[in-house]
Amino acid sequence: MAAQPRTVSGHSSAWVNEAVGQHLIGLSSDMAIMSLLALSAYVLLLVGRVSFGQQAFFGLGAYASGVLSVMFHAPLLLALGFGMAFGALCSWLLAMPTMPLSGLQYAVATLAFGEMARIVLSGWQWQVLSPDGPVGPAGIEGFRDIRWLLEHDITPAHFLGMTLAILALVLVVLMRTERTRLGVALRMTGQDDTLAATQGIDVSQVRLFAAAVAGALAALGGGLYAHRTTYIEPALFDPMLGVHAVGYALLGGLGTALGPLVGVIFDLGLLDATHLFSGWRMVVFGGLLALFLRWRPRGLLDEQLVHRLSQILNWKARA
Amino acid sequence: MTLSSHPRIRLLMLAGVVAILLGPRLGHASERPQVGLQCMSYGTGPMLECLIDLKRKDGTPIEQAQINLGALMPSMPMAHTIKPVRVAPTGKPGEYQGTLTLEMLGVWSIDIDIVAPVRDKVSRNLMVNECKRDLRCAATLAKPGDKGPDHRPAKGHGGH
Amino acid sequence: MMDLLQLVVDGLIDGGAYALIGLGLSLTFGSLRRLNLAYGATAMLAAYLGAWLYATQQAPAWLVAVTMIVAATLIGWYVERLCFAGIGQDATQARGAPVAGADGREVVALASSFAIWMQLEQLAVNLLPRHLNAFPSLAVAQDWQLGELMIRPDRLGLAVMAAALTLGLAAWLERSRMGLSWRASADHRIAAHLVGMPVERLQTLGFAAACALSGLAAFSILSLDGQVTPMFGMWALLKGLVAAMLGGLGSVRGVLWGGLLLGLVESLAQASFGAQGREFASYALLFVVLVAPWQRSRERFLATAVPG
Repeated sequence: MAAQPRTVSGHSSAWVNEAVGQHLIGLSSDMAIMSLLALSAYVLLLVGRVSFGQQAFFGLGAYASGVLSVMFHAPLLLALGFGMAFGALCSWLLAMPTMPLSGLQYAVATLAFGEMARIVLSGWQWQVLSPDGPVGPAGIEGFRDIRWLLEHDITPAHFLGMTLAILALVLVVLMRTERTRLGVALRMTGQDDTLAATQGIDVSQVRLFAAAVAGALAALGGGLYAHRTTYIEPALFDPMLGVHAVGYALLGGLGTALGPLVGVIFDLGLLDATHLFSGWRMVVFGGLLALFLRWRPRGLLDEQLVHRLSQILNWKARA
Repeated sequence: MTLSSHPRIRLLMLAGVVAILLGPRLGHASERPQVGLQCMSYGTGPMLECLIDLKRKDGTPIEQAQINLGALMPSMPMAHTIKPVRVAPTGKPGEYQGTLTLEMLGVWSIDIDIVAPVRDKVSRNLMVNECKRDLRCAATLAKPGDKGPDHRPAKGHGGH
Repeated sequence: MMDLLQLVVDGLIDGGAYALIGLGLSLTFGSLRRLNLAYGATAMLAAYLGAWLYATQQAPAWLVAVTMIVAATLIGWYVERLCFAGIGQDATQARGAPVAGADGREVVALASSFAIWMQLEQLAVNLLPRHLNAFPSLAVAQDWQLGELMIRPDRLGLAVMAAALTLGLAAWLERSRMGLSWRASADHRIAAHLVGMPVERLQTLGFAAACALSGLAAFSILSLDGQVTPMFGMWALLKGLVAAMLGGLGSVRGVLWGGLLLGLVESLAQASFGAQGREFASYALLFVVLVAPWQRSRERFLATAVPG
């Protein structure tokens, strides 16, 4: 290590650059993780459901992945996969009784479920003895020391690469599905479920499937988050998190899976990180979202714009 | 959209993810340092000045450590991004100091990210209170009930 | 046995507060058939304005109350104009709403009101950044003793006020001309329009009045606590939502029963399972009521703003 000045204020420029680099890496990781949660809300919006409970699956996935990697020493991939499966299962179980509910009732029911899940997590204690002392979920105190990344020497930059790769994979899968019959069925259910039913689409099955996928995505984000920060607590899975996820999806656009990413980058990247409206971020974001919903209810990248863009791209490709 | 239609690229991405995740597993012998944290808030922002005390398990102070100090707000995890700061040694062996610029008062989760000589991550929840003018106030360890959703204190039996 | 009775009495009395905060929410739904998710934040911003006034200007309690009611009305007007006004109830679907079909109109307005929820919460917290903020206190420390029961007179007063307000409002909606025309415009917009009622104005007025009620409720509840925290917005929304939905969204008397039931369930749950158990029970109650298959209450939630 090169000699560094000893005074507090006299940082060398190398130090400062490194700190900025770390900050950007952390920010990008957060954006990628939040994108997964926004995509989870997006999938449900596609089938016509507004869910304010996705933060619950984020939390459940975080805890499930953490438990697997800490208590069972599973490799990260397996832990994340388990978290995803668990999230998908819980979401699917929730979707069944809430199937006949109207959009409004569904939104409130998911909000209630989100809080119920959070309270259950604050009461759950499971401690196992490890060489460093007891580890495991400790109820309201949270789940500390999810140190898989540290123990396996994965740097934040390495982790960012991995998270981006996972996100890219998810996006590819979602975008490819758009063109299949399944993708069309999803969108048709969202546009008008009565009409979709007359076309022979099993609306309940489609909604259950979408719920499972959404649960898996949120849980994947949660698992990544847990390992990134090494410490999670139930208070993190606040309804505001789920509300923001829906907001990102609605703002960025429901026309393509890239839409929620636009919303995330706009809020976390532009508004928050640049401290453009320091302390007024939610005022600006909320106001913009409300205005958008009034005049552009499908978001920025809505179906029309996406169609037009793809036409331009195809035209260019052909020319 | 043309990228996604290349099966080879998709396969490469999948392979990359798998390789990274199942990659070389270099475990460390569990040598977790003992971390002490004391923070004082002052000024508007507020600013949070933190003293970190780093010791090995046997009590010897760890010198020349590289530590990043960060913070996040537990109630809104991925917002309120704070630029992490590198801490600087104060002169006392094993002691380091860093100042964070926070955005709001309330409960903050202070992250101590130790990069060298051992890699570790510790976080503590602190309640950052308002401090009048030129004074410095200690930030206390937050209790779990401080950020609960119920704005009323738990009700007693018969009286409140 | 006495313990159980004490729990029941405590629960019912606390239920009065829930009914009061749920009243405004139920009325906003009743007037527009839309759920106002910014309701809690509206009450919170009004409360913070009151607390700010109290802290910086040493305003007396009555002035704080009046300010809060006026502020809540204005904020409610702002929310209504921004989120709910552009979407006509029977008009053809807004171009490409997030959710089309029968639910689309509700859900669009629902979605945009949560955006304002975010906005109002941040405005409140910017005004008073501290966690605990002093609020004019009208609390009475002495308990009344009724045999072996201990009753807090101030909380009892709140519950009585809630009941009186609810029942009075229900009667007014049933009997008075204004109340009837408001209900008519909520029930059948087009028919009311044809008869010559100023439908839009009635709805805006109704919404604003409901938010004014939220300001009153917030003042009454917070004055017994003597303080306000940033958690208040979420608390008001969630408790109000449970109380309103238990009794049937839009039904004024229903909110009273819903609030009392919620208070009772919470009190018993807390005695058995502690504070977390109490919270869980309130959400579980809401969830069960929504999901319960034996209730033919799907239509009930879209009920007209009937008093009973």
